[in-house]
Amino acid sequence: MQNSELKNELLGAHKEVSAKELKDYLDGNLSNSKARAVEAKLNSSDFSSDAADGIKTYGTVASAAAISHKYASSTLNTPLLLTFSSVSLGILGVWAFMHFSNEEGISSENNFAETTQEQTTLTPTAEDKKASYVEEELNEKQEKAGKTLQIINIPETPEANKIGAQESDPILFSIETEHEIFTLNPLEKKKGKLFQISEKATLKTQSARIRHYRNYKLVDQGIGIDESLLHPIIEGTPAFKETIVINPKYPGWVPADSIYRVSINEGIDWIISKDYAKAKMRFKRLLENTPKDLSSSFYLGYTYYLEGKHEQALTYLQMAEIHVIQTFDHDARFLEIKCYLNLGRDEDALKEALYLKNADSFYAEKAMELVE
Amino acid sequence: MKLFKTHISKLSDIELIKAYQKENAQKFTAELFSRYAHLVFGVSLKYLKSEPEAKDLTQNVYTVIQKKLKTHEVTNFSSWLHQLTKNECLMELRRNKRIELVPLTENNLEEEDSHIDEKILLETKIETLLKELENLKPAQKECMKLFYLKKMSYREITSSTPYSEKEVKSYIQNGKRNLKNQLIHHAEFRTEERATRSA
Repeated sequence: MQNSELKNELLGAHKEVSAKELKDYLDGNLSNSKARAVEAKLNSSDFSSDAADGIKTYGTVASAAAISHKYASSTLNTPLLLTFSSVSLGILGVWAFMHFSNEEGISSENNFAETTQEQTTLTPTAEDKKASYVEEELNEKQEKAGKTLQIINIPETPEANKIGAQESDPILFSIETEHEIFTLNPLEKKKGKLFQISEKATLKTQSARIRHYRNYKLVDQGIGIDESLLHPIIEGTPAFKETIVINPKYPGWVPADSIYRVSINEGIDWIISKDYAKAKMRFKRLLENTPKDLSSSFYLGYTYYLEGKHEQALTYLQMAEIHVIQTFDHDARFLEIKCYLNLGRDEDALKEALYLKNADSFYAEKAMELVE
Repeated sequence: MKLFKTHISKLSDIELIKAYQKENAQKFTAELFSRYAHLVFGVSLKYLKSEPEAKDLTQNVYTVIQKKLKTHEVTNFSSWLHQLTKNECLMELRRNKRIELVPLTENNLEEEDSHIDEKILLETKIETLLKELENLKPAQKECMKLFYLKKMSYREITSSTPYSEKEVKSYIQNGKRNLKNQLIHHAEFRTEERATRSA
């Protein structure tokens, strides 16, 4: 029966969907059986599946097809080649093929292919510059990480870096350098370093695990956001909430990249459930170890705002506004307007509202309504 | 020249990488990348949510692979490229401060360590697999059977069940993951059992 096919399909981890298949599938031009074949490939490959999601949600099929065409280096006339092969012309066939293919006009596609490749391949100078830029940037990051970090102890038990289930438990970060992976505990009350390393793990013991979690889908609904993280907690704004998928085989573990996000998200959850004391404790503790963490500044300010403590709210919102302009700037300023109005500081509120208006912010209209 | 082009398109990913490492010619990486450029672009779109940015990132990935493949040993190119693309996207998001994450260096480009799981699956008997299939949640089991055993498309499953296409997709993906985990758990249990017996 077809049962062995189930096994094969479960194992078909590396059959990627081709550009044409993907285009036809997303355009809805395939019969049920052909659509099903593409779906089987999408199911068996995270790469294809992620790509299809991206194109379907944020792009156009035409763009994807154009990209594929752009990089095509060879537009082999396959049917022609197969014909020659199938009649087994041997040496004569090969000679004939070479002879004809060298003649102009036998395949306009081939000529086009060469042109395309010339047009799309980077010139060596530009290529070298880009490569050099990437390398320099990575070196700089590694060097910076090396200076920032300091190993303070090396516990043996791998259980130590499970994420804490309770607020009092440590929540740990991980960082990788070229040769090692470190697990960090940002909630330890030690100052002077951006991060304190509480555990060092060798590649042998932990790399595979951490990599495995990272390869799991960290986030179901996208990572990058044009709007801010504030949106899930302000009614009527575009919804955004990360969903972290944890491997059921190791339920105590989360992907290294997501651990920080988990700690922030827990704080956000406490805000939503109006458990402000816990939320404040979480963000304050994060700030103690990462004083420039704008997410914690912002959400701490937001918590104070919700409690009606507008002066304290302003302190942290302004910190969030200053640290990283692009991420929380507008959200923070919008909340600042509300705080200023509550404190009777109308001029300050107007100033911020005009800033948002001039910046063509998502909040511009709402901000102007408030001050008017 | 044309014959050579014919030849290059028939090379496997690994052969192209070896040829590139040997001859240092861009035509090999161009051919290799052309097979996956649409996927790199799609993944970039998923993360960056902008076509112009995704196009730029696709170009960046192409540049990076040309450099890395000179020395990097890659046994599963598509898996490696997927990981590389995701890393580049995350780096891009961090650069633009659109995501706040723990600093991360870029040595996590090893391929997914999935071959062990696959080996276990290969050794799994069909009867075991079907038995474990029955242990899935009803909706997952139903969608898995219709998709894998009846060979129905999402559209067909949607029309013959109360589930939406999105739900069907989700049930199949989750069902597949759960089934794999159950099989791996089953295999581990058997291994332990054998070890206990021999001891």
